[in-house]
Amino acid sequence: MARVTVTEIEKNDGVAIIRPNTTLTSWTNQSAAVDDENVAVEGIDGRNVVLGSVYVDETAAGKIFTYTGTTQVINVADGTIQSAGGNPVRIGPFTYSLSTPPMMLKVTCCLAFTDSSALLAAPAYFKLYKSTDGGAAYVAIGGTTRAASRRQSINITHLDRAAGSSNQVYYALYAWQAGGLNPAIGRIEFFVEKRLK
Amino acid sequence: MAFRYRERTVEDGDVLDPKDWNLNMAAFAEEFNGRLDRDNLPASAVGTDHIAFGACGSAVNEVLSVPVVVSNDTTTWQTIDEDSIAVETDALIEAEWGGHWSWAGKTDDDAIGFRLLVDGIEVARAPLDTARWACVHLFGDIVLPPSTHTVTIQARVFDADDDLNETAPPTGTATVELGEMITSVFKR
Repeated sequence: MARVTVTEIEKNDGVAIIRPNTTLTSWTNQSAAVDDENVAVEGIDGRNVVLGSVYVDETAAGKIFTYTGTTQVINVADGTIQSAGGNPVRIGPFTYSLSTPPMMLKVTCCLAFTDSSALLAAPAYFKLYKSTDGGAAYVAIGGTTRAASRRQSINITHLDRAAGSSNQVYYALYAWQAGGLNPAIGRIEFFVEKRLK
Repeated sequence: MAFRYRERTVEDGDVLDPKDWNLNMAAFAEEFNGRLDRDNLPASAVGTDHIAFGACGSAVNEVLSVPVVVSNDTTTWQTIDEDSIAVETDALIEAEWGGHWSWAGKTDDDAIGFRLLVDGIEVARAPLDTARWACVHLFGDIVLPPSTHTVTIQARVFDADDDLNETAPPTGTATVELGEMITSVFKR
């Protein structure tokens, strides 16, 4: 903590400017070294903090994917990005720091799903993938596979805390089915919450 | 720093007294040495680099990557996965878990339910579901004092009647296949 020392003038001191100068020098030096201990506990509020210092608004074009039509899950095996309205269900790039600890990206994909199969028929599968270049090199995100049959709402949420080899990342929704079930996705909301601190 | 009266005001003709200087300087130093606050800082003075990582909260995740078979013991909730996070201040704990399950040898009435707990307190519950394959996403908030908090996802299986009341053990075997638990902490 920057701490100013007041060098007091005492009675009967000679007429000299040394002590006042010592105090003023302390002010000059310490005012350039202010840190958190100079600030009172809970002394600052939202007005003092720059907008976007803790959370980043990631709602620009390309950073969210919204689809309100109906699209078929045509893939019969894992390995292809789901397409909706003629576009790949993909969002990004999101930039992040490679320093430790890394910032946090919370990825959420919500969708409504339906198929005409019977209750005990095979399910359709959904899974999140990530890529550092948005190209072909997508890697599956562990634990994000979800299986469903008939009519359901699906929410896949993943917390990405791992700093990768690149400072940017894309996310994509993969979907596939056992074959012949003709399942469909009704609506999709795909977005990221970026938390810096 | 709230408004402060000037300790000493020296006027023309006063006798020189060191206290006039000393007290005025001490008043400034007292504020500077640990009592600065929002009134001393202009709007938007604090940026990302000034904020310590974790000062506003934190988050952890736990991935269920190995399927868990849910026992047909209908008397107790069975833990599927859990995670913990150390919190140094009063905070809002936001717990969520999403995953999916499947049944083997299922009959129509076989059902599964889930609940999400923070330190043993139930914060969310999914009602019984009779689907063969399906997903569930539970989300709950609770304010807790400083401590290490544990978030737990539990499941329970039944043979349910037409009103989804719990009646007897199921015929089939349920497996929670995959899932992810995310625990976020927001400083109050």
